[in-house]
Amino acid sequence: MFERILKQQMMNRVLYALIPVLLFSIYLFGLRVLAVVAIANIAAYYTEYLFIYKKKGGKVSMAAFVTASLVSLSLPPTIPLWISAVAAIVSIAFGKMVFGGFGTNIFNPAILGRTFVYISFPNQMTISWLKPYLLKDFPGGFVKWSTESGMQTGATILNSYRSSSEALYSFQDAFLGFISGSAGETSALLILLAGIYLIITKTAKWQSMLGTALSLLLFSWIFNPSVNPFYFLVSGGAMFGVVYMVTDPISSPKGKYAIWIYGLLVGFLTVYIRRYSLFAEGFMFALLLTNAFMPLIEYGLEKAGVK
Amino acid sequence: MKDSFLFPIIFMLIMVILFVGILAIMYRVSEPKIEAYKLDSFQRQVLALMAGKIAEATAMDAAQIMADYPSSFETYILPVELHDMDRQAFQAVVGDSVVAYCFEIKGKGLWGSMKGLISTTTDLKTIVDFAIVDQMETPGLGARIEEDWFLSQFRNRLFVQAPDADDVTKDYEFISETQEPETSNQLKRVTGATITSDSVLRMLRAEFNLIYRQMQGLKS
Amino acid sequence: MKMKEIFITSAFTENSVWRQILGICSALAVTNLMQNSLIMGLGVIFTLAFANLTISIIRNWTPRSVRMMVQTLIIAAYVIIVDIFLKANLPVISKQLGPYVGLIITNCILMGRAEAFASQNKPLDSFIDGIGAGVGYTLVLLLISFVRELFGFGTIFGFPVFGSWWTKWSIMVMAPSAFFILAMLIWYINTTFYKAKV
Repeated sequence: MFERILKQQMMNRVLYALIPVLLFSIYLFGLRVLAVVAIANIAAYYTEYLFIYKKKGGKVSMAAFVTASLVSLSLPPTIPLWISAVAAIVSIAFGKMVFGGFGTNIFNPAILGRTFVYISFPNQMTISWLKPYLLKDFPGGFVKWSTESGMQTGATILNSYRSSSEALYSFQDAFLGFISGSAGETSALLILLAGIYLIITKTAKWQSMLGTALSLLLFSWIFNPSVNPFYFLVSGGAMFGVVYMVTDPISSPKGKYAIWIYGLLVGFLTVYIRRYSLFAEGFMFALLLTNAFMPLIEYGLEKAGVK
Repeated sequence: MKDSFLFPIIFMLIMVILFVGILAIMYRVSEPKIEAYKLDSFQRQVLALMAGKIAEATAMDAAQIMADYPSSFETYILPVELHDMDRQAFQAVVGDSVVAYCFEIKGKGLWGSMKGLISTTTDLKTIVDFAIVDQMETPGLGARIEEDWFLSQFRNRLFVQAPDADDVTKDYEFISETQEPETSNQLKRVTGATITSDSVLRMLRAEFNLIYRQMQGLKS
Repeated sequence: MKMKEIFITSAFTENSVWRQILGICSALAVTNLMQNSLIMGLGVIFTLAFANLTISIIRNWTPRSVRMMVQTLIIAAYVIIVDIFLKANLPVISKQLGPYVGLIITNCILMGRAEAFASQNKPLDSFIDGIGAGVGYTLVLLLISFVRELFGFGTIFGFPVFGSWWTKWSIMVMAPSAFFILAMLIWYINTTFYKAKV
């Protein structure tokens, strides 16, 4: 099956950058995470294959695996395996292939898939979270299927903050990642290191990462002055999104100014949605909305003569 | 003639008169039927909410009472006048004594207004039964407040705890749908519809405050 | 024979939804349950057929300057008749459909058929054309609502198809899902039957 895969160095590097996050996640939540990621990758491969198998010389792009890994790592570790597959299929089919395949999609496919399952299955996506293994529990999840016994329901950092305005975990735990949450998003530290690797290898643009992060900090400081804005940055999916999602080379803008506007908008909308809407997690909606408006903004910038 | 100035106007006029006439006749003919249906379903709901209490007092079966509608409605249920409140209220009377009250309640949901009916015990402190009559919540999420598992949680719940305080109602809190209540003041929330669930509780508490005062005033 | 051709043309080959992309708004709104879709479809068939018939009968006397107003008036009258009929005789369904019955009047298919067909053809032909266009529209509604109800509730026409293990897809209950189901339907039909190039 591998002879029809299009090799893409850039996408390989994103996959390398995801390995530490994946390993850490397995340690926290058990080997089940690996199964969730694997199923998503297989589903993504076959979905893309279905679209291209008739075309002569059509190849499955490496980006499909990046998308599948990203979307599956953004799901809660308790997610039923078939939902992980649905997320990957929707990501590839509706996020990418209907727009014409690799390089032509306007929305970030991984985020699109996650939003689809988030709206479809609110129970599975927002109710049960696993209590992670801590450092002292070595070898933790590497030898266990799942930490199901330590099930904890209904409280991620963001949800508990919304309902009781109390912080659930200390800043240090949230930064290092020994917290419950979606599989891949818990450790801000590892994601940060991965981000630095991506920037050094010129895989991702530093402008979009920095722009989004600064905008997130600024607006959470404006909207929630009582909370340390850095706490918001390291909690929830924000950090994961900043490093892996906004930097998607296809759906993010290319222009010098456009990229900063992009970051600014994503940050603003994330905080705004977290603060005022029904949904605790705003990052995915923010990114999709920004994706939808970016072509228009870029066009406007071009008309105005700034590039 | 077709292109003259006057003809289009006269033509339009005739058409309007013709079609509006047809509609008016049709509306008049079906109006009683529509009104009767509305009244009928509302009264049935009121009776259903109080049927349990009536059954207790008359040693009949609640299903039997429902089957006897509309005669049972006429026998047991009397309206209650509330002052300055745009809400209907009823009482169930068996023999000479009141066995339950039923009130129309109104509140705001996530997308629009909500209307419900509650029946209470005679001391107005406990909910006997609760039904949502009208709501505009998200289908499949918030609209699930109409489901029986959610509504039945409110049955036989003490709501008025502190009759002399500013807020007479008891504090309730929501827990997730998958959890089991541990204390008597926990209720299960509809998953994915936190705001709708909260709105239902807020509506109940606000209306209880209004109704309890009003009825205390009436009694004394 | 000609009647049959008119029917086939307006219901299938020149279907208002998948060929002309008309009447999309109501296709999104009422397709969460198959039952609602069917009733809505019947309402549209009725309104289309009789509005077409009436418009066609008076077409020779209608002055060109006011023809659109007359068409709107006639369509509106029939829509209100449907609404009153449902309220009086099928109140439960009327409540479920809510404001959508009234919104039949904004369905572009009605004006489309009135302008394109009924104002230039014989009454009986127009009547058949109206039924055809309505049937085509109902068919699309039923197809969309089949997918939405099956995934969203696990039922078809209210009968449970899947057991209690079925996880409901709440996105299918919400209107946005109709967007991409409709898109897929149009995509499939155009590539399969009209040999459109992808």
